Amino acid sequence: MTSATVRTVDQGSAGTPGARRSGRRRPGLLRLAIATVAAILSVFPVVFMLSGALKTRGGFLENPFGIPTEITLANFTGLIHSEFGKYFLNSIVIAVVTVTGTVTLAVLAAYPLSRFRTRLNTPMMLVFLAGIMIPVHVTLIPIYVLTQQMRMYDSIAGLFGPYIAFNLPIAVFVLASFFRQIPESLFDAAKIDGAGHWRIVRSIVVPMSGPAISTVAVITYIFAWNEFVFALVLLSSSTNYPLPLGLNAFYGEFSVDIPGMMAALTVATLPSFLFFLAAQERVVSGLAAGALRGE
Amino acid sequence: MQRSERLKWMGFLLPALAVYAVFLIYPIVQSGVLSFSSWAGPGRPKTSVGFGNYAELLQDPIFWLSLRNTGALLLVSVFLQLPVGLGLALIVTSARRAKRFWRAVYFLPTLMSTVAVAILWRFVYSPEYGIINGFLRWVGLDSWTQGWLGQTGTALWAVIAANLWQWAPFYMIIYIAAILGIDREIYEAAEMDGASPFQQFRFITLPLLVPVLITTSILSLAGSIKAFDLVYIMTLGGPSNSTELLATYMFRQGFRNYRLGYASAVAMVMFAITFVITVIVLVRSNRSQHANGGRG
Repeated sequence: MTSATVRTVDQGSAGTPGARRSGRRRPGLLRLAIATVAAILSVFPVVFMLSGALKTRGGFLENPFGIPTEITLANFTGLIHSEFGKYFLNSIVIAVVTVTGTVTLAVLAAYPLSRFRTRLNTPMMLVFLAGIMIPVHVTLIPIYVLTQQMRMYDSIAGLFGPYIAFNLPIAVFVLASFFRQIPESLFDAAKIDGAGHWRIVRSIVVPMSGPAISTVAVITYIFAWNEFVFALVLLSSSTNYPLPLGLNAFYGEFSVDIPGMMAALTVATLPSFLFFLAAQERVVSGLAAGALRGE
Repeated sequence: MQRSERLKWMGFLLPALAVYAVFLIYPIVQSGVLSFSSWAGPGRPKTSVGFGNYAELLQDPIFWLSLRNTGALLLVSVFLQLPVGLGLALIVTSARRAKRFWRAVYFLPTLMSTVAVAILWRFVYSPEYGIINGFLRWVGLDSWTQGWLGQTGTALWAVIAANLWQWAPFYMIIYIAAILGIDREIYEAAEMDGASPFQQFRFITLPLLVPVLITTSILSLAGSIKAFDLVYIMTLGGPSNSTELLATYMFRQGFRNYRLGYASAVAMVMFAITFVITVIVLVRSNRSQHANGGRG
C-alpha cells in the first residue's frame, strides 16, 4: 500500500514540466548532497566490514581502509570449519521457536481481548502494555535463579520462556488492534453456522490477519536473532551459543585475525539484510507499528 | 458476559498469561524482594538486610557515576538521536525519487545485532587500524588521532556515538511512516498560500508529529536505560568505570561479584527511573493535548 503511494508520487514529479524543475535545481542539488553525506556516515562502517572480510590478513594490515587489492573468500570458507556453523544453527532454532511460540500465544490472547465484550479487557490489556517498558535487567537475577531451579541452565530451551514473555506485550497489542478491525459480519455469519470460538480463530481470525501476524513475526525475529543479555546469563558452554554470544567469543579468540572477524560479522548480519531486502515493507511496518499504534 | 463465556475468555488468555506471569511479572516482584537481602546465589544462605543495599548505593561512587553516564546517554538519545532520525526521515520523504533506496541505505545499521555493531565499532575506533584515525591521518590531522576507547575522556562519547549510529535509523522508520500518514492536501493548501518548505515543516509537519514524538521519546528513554550490549563488548564499563552504565554495573555486581541482593537494588533503581519517566511523559503529554484541544 505504502509502496504504491510512494511510486505514484515519484511518477507524478517525474511528469512535471521541465521548466518548473530547472528552477528548483539548486535546492535539489543541496538536498542530494546532504542525502549523500548522511548515506556515507550510515554505511562507512558496513563498507569497512565488507571490504575487510574480502582481504587477506596481510592485505588488511598493509591497507586497512582501501578497496581490497586481492580478493579472497578464505575468510568465509574458514568459518565453515570453526564453531560458527553451530552458533548459526542455534540462532535459527531459537528464532523459529521464539517466533512460533510468541505468535501462537499472542493470537490466542489477542482474540478474547479484542472480540469479547467485557470490562476486564481494559485492565488486562494494561497489564500486557506495561511490559513493553520493563528493562530486561530488572528480571535478570530471578530468571537466572528460576532457570537453575527448573534445571534448564545452559540449555537453549531455557531461553524460550523469557524471549516469548518479553515479546508478548507488543505482539498482543499489535494483534488485538488488528483483530478489532475485522468486520463484525464475518463473525455473525460464522456464529449462525454454529462455529465455536476455536473454529472462528482458526478459520476467520488467523486467515484474515496475515499482515499483522507477519508484522509480529518480524519484530520477534529481530529480537530473538540479536538478543544477548539473557543468553549471556543463561548459557555457559560454547556449543549452546547463539550468534551474538558466538561473535563475542570469536572476538576474544581471534582479535588478531581482523578479516576473519569481519567475515563472521558479515555472515551473522546477512539473514537480517536479506530478510529486509525481500520484505522491506513488512519489516518497516513491523517496526513502525508498535511505536505508532502505541499512542 | 455469561459464566461460560468468562471461562472461555480466561481459557484463551491463560497460556500467554502463564508465560508472562512466570517470566516477567514474578521476576520483577522477586527482584524487589531480593533487593532487601544479601545473597551470593542458589545454595548459599540468604540474609535480610532491610534497606542496607539502598543505603550502600547512596554511598557508592561508581553507582553515581553509572547513573550520571546513563543520564548522558539518555539526554543524547532524546536530544540528538531523535532529531537525527527525524532529519533522515525528512531526507527520505522529500527525496523526489528512489525513496526506498535512501530508506534502505540509512536503515542498514539498525538491522545489525548490537553485538556486531559493538565489535565493528571497536575496529572503527582502533588506534592503528581504525578507520577514524586513518581518516584523520589522511586529512593531515595526525595530532587528533588517539585511542578513542582507551581513555576516560573520550570512551563514553565514543560509545554514545556508536549507539546514535545504530539507533537513529530506527526512529527514522517510525517518523517516515508518520510523515507519509499526513494528508497531502494540507501541504498543497499551504503551498498555494505561499508557505516555504521550512514553514511547512514548522507549522504542519512538526505539530502533527507531536504524538509520535512523545511515543518515540518514551521508547528512546526506555532504550537508553536498557543499554548494555554495546558497553559490555566495547569497553566492559572501563577504562576505570568511565563508561559504566546502570545495566552494566548491575551485571557486574550480580554476575561477577555475586552480590545478587545489591545488584537487585540497582535493578530496582532502573525500574523506578523507567516507571517515573513514563508516567511523567504520559501525564504531561495528556495535559498538553487537552490544552491544545481547548484552544482549538
